[in-house]
Amino acid sequence: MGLIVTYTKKYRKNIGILIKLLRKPDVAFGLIILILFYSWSIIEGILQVIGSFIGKPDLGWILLPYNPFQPHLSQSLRLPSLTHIMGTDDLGRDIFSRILYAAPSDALISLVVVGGGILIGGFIGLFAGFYGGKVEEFNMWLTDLFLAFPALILAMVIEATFGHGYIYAMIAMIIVWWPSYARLFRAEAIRIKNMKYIDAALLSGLSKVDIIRRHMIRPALNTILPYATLDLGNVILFYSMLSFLGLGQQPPYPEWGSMVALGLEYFPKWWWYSLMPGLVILIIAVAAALVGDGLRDILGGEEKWV
Amino acid sequence: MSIWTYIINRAIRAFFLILGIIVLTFLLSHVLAPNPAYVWAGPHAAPSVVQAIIGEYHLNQPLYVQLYYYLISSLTFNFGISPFFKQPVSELIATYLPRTLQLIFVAMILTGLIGIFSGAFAAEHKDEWGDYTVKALYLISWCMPPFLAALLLQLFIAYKWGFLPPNLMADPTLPSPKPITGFPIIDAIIESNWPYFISSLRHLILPAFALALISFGIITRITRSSMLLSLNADYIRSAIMRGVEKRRVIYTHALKNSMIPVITLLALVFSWMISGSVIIETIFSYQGLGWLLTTALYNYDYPTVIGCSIVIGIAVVLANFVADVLYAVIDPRIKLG
Amino acid sequence: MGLTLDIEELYVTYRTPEGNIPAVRDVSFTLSEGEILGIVGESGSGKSTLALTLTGLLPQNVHVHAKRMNILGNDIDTSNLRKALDPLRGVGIFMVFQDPFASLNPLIRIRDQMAEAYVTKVRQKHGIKLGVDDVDDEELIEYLKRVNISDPHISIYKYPHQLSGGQIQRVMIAMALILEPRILIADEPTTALDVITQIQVLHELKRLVDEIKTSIIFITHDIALASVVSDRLAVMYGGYFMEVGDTLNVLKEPLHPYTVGLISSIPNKRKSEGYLSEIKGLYVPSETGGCPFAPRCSHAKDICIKEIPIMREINGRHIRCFLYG
Repeated sequence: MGLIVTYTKKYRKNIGILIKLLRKPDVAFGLIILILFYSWSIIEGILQVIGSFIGKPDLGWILLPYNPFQPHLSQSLRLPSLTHIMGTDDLGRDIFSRILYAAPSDALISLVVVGGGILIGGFIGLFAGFYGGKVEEFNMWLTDLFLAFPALILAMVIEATFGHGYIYAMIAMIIVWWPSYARLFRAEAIRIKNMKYIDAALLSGLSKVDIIRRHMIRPALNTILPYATLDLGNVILFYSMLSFLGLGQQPPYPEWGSMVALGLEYFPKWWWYSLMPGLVILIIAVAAALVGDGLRDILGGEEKWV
Repeated sequence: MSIWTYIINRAIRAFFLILGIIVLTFLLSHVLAPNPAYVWAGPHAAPSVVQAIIGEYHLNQPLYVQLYYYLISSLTFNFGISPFFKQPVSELIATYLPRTLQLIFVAMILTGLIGIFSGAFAAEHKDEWGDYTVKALYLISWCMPPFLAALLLQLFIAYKWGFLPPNLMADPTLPSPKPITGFPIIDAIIESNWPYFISSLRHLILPAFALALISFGIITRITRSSMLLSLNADYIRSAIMRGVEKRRVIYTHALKNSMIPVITLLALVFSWMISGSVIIETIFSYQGLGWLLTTALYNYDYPTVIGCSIVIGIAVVLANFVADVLYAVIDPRIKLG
Repeated sequence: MGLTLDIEELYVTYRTPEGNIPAVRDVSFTLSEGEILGIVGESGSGKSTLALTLTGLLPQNVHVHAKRMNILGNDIDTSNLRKALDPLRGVGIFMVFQDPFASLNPLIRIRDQMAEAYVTKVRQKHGIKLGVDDVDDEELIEYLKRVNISDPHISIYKYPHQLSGGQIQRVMIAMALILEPRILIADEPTTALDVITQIQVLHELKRLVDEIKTSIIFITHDIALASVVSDRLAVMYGGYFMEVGDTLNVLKEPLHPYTVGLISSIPNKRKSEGYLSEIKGLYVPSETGGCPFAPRCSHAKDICIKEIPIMREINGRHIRCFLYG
C-alpha cells in the first residue's frame, strides 16, 4: 500500500489509477479489503507499541471486542455467534480479537519482506541485466541457487540454525524472497536496455550507473509494482506457513498460522478454531492478488512469473 | 546446435547448482551459525556429546578442511547419525523421501490435468461466464494456504461425508509391504499385497488433492494466457484455413504451443509442492519427508534437517533439469542460455 | 466463366471502447474463375481486413454487413461469418499469409502440416475421414517437387524454422496445390522475401491459376508487383475501392488522382525527370464523411470534404471520384 501511495504521489498523471481501479468491482473489493487491513494494522500496531513502551499492554486491545490473552474457561470453544463472530478457542478467548491483534505483525512482515526483496533483488537483477556477461552469469547462478531450495525449506534451515521467532522469520523470508525479484528486475533490465532511448542516453555520455538510476528503475516499476502488490499476499501466506510450523511469533502472542496449528487438536469437532484464521489469510491474499491484477491491467506491465 | 550439446550444458549447470547448494548449507551451518558445535549437537546436548560432534565434523580445524569433509560426505549422501532417531540420516531419507515423491507425483498429475484443461476451457470461453468461474477458482487456488486446503478437504470429504480416510498413510492394521523400491504403493504391487495397495491409494488421494488444490492455479493461468496468445497467431489461422478440424486446432495446434511456458513451470510447481507437502503431511499425519523434517526441527535434530534440505535442493535442481530437457524435446527451436 | 465471388456493398467495422472504426466501406466486386484480382493499398487502407473478411477469421469485435455476399454460389450470412465459412475453408477458400515464419506452427513438422491439408481435401471432396498419419509421404513430396523446393525428401521432415521464408511460402503454395482451392487469397505473400525469391514465388502463384484454375485475390501495397500478376486491379484507400479496372488500362491511363499518384511513384528507367513523384502527406482517417483522399488530393474541391462520391462506371472502369461526374 505504501508503494501505491508513493507511486501515485510521484506521478501526477497516474493519480487516476486509483479511480480506474475502483471502477472494476472485483478490484475495488480487493482494494477495500487491503486498505482496511493495512489501516487497521497501522492503528493497532501503534497502540501495541505505545502500550508496551509505557508499560500498559492493555492499550493494545483497547479497540478490540475482547482481551485476546485473558482466558474465559466458561466460554471455551463456542461456535461463531453474534457475541463471538468467529467463535472462541480452547481457553475461551475470542478468535476474532486474537486475529485482529495479530494483524500488525503480518502487515509489517509483508511490507518489510517485499521491500527488502525489491531492494536486494532490484540491485542484483538490474546490474545483471544491464551489464550482462560475467556479472550476469554469476548473479543469475546465485539467484538459481537460492531458488533451488523450496522457500519453506530454506527458511526452516535458516531458523533451525539461528533460532525461532518473528525477527528470524523476517530475515529468513527476505533471504528466500529476493531471488524472484532479481529475476524480474533482470528481465526488465534486458527489455529496457534494448530500447532506443537507452542507446541515446549512452551516446550522450551518461554513465551506466546513472542510466540505471535515471532511466531503468522507473519503467521497471510498471512491471514490478503490480507484482509486488500481489506479492504482499504471498508473503502473508508464506509467513502463516512458517508460523503454522511454530517458526514465527512465539506464544503467547497470537499469530494467524500458529492459531491454525493450535486448533488442529480440536479439529474437526471445533472446526472454526483452525478454519477462521485460515479463511482470513485466504481473503487477504485474494484481495492482494485482485489489486495486483487490476494494477497490471492499468499500468500495462507484462505478465511475468517467477 | 544439437540437442545433446544443450542437454550436456544443462547437466553441467545442474551439477554446479548442486555443489552450490551444499556450499550454501555449509556456509549456514559452519560459518554463519553462531556456535556450530551446539547447532549440530542440539542446544541441550551434554558436553561430551558436543566434544564428539566437534571431532566428527572437524569443527576445530580450518574452514577449508571442514568444507572438504562436508563436501565429500554430502556428495556421498553421508549426513551423519540423527541424534533424535538414532539412525543414519541417509537411511531415514531413503525411507521417507519415496513416500513424499509418490504423493507429489500423483499431485502433479492432478495439477497438470486440472490446470491445463481449466486453462484451455477458460481460453476457449474468454470473457464468458466459464472464464470468470475459472478465474475465481484459480485465484482461490493460488491464495489458498496449504493448511486450509488440507483442513477443508479433511472436514468435508473425510469427516462429514466419510468418503476417504482423514489421515495416515494406510490402514495401520494391515501388514505393510517390505521396502523394495521404497515406494509403498509400488512395493505393495510387487508383493501383490492388494489390501494394502488399495488402502494406501485411498489414503493418498486427499493429501494429493490438497497439494493439487494449492498448485493448479498458476498452471491454469499460464495455460489460459498462452492459449489466448496462440489462438490469435497466424499459424492457427493458417491451420483453420486449410480446414483442420476445430478439435485438432485447439488441442493439437494451440495447446501444444501453450505447453512450452507450462513446462518451464513444472519445476516451480514441484518446488512449491515440496513446501506445501511439509504442511500437508503434518495435517494428514502422512509420514513422508515433510513429516521427517518438521519432527527433526522440533527435536533439534540438525543433521536430519540439513540432510533433508540438501536432498530436497538436489531434487529441485533435477526437476529443473528435467523441465529443461522436456522443453528442448517439445520445442524444436532450442535456444541455449 | 462462372463467378466465384460476388460481393455487393460490404461494410466491415471494428468496435472498440473508443468508438466504431470503419475498415472496409461500400466495397463491391466480383471475381471470375481463374482470374487474378490485385488489391493495392497502403497500410490502413483496409485491404488486410478485406482479406480476413473473406476467410471469416476476423476478431470477435468486428461487425460485418453486406447487401450481398456470395462465395462459390453460397449466400453467406454475414452475422456469423466465422461459422458460415467453416465448410468453405480448405478446398473452397485458402489463404497465404504475409509473414511466412508465423504462418506455420513452429512445433509441428512440415509433413504433418501438409498432411492436414491432404486430410481436408479427402474429407471435403470425397467425404472420407483420414488421420494425419495415414497420408502417404511420397505423395506429399510430389507436391513439394511441383513448387520447386530443394531437397523435398529432407525438407518435408523439417520444422518451419529450419526453412527460409521463400521455402515456407512455397510450402503454402504446395498446400494450395493439394487443396486445389477455388479461391486463393494471398495477403502480401512476397513482402517478407527478397526480390529474386519474390519473382519465383509469384511465378508459382501464377502457375496455380494455369494448373488448377484458381481465382486469386492478390493483396499488396506495391502496385508494380500487383500489375505483374493480376488481370484486374482494385485500388483501395481509406476502406473504399477508389478505382477498379483491367490492369493494363489502369496502368496506361489511371483516372483516380490517388491511382495517378501511385503509378507515378513507380521508379521507371525510361522516364527522364530526376525525381520520383510522391503523394504528399500521410493517410489520416477522416472524420468528416467526405472522400478519405481529399486531404491529400491536389484536385480536391469543397464537395470532396463533405461528401463521398459514388462508384461510377466509365469505359468498363469503376471510379469513385467527383472529377468524373
